[in-house]
Amino acid sequence: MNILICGGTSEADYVLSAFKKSHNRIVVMNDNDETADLLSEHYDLDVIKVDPTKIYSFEEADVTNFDLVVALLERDADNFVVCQIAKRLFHIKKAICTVNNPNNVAIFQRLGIDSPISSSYLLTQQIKGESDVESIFRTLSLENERIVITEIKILKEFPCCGQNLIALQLPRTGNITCIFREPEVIIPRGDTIITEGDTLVIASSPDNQQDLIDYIKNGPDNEEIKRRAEAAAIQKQEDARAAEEAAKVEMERENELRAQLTAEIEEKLSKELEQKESLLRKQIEAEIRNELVQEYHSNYVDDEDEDDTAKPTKAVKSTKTTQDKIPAVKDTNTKMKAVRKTRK
Amino acid sequence: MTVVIGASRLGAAIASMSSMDGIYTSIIDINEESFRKLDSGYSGYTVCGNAEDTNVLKKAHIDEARECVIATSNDNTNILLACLITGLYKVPYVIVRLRDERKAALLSDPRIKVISTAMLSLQAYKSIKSIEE
Repeated sequence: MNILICGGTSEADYVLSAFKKSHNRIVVMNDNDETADLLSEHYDLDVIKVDPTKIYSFEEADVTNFDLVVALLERDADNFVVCQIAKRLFHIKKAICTVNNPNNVAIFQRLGIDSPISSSYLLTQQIKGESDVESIFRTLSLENERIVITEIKILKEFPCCGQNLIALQLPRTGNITCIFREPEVIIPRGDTIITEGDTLVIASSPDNQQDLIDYIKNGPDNEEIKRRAEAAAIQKQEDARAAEEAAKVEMERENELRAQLTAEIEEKLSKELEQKESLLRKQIEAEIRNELVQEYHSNYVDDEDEDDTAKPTKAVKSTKTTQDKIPAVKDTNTKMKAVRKTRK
Repeated sequence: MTVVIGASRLGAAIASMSSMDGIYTSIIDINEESFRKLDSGYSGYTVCGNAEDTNVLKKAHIDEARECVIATSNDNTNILLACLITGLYKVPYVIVRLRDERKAALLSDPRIKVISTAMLSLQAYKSIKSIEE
């Protein structure tokens, strides 16, 4: 691992001692002459005497793409800037720093610092743990107090003494992570028996911690259990009722939807039917019209033929009459013939 | 509402100007005595405390601020405050004074504008030189 350590005095010393052993490449930046000389001597490495909060210091140190930066300066703002320069401008992968103000733990994490560590925060935790009146249990908290680890020393009078884990029936809000039975650490299973002198290490959320401690010390509270069982039963009934209601509502909706759909389909069908009907009607009308027209045509056309033959005969008749008139003076037979012809 | 952090000469001057213009102003400084730099006509709030503390920021009405000017004497503090304020509050304009303008690269939020005293001084020098010539 390539590690950059910035600032700090005794902290830097301690961190160096931890990491120098295991094949890591370490670069140290410290602008305090005394500390720099001390570290350089003690650990036989080059200490760069620069202000770690300056960008040119990083350029000089040639630490691009390092794995880890540890910022141990005195001021939170300085540590912040060191980590930001490291991560954003020199692509160092992880940033760890100390913070004085415990409120800055959450803020720094939000602003991208991987592990801000507040000594006063940890100190407070330790004090809390130590100052518990009943020194049979201690607490460690992780993830900013969202997880607590409780150590409980089992005394003879605890009802769980002599029980195995299955019989213990620890509430589901907690989990016995391991049992310290000096000098061994046991990872328990269902058949592991809790004995006097064991230290149980239980993981849970802070809200459930006290209940779990009471459970271990005093055993199950039967009254409490009954009450909770009743409450659970009532809850179940209510849930069932709610589910029924929900199912009813669902069914109603379904029926509504179905009715809607069928109505839509019927509408569509009837519209289609109407259209077809009107089309058919138009067709029939058209056909009837055609027939009539044809009839009319055929009638009209026949009449036309008769008139045409009549006309020339009339013309013939007229010429005949004029012709007849002239010879009538000469020949009476021919005159009679002519008259007869005209009459016809 | 304008919130000024740091009653440095610049901070005090900006706060005084803002207050004279009729804008609600508050100024935060860790030292009570720094407020002496404020104009006698200053009519805004003064909050004595560490601006890194969110309680102090709340007292200075950061929630209602339209503009926040960060002008403490320490660049690193200014950078932390800029990141903190843009990270936690919805202030639309954050103006930061930095002596080392290279550190402006750490402030990527688009709401942040950097005033680099070195750069401005250099420009002033250039304009004086051009008058000389």
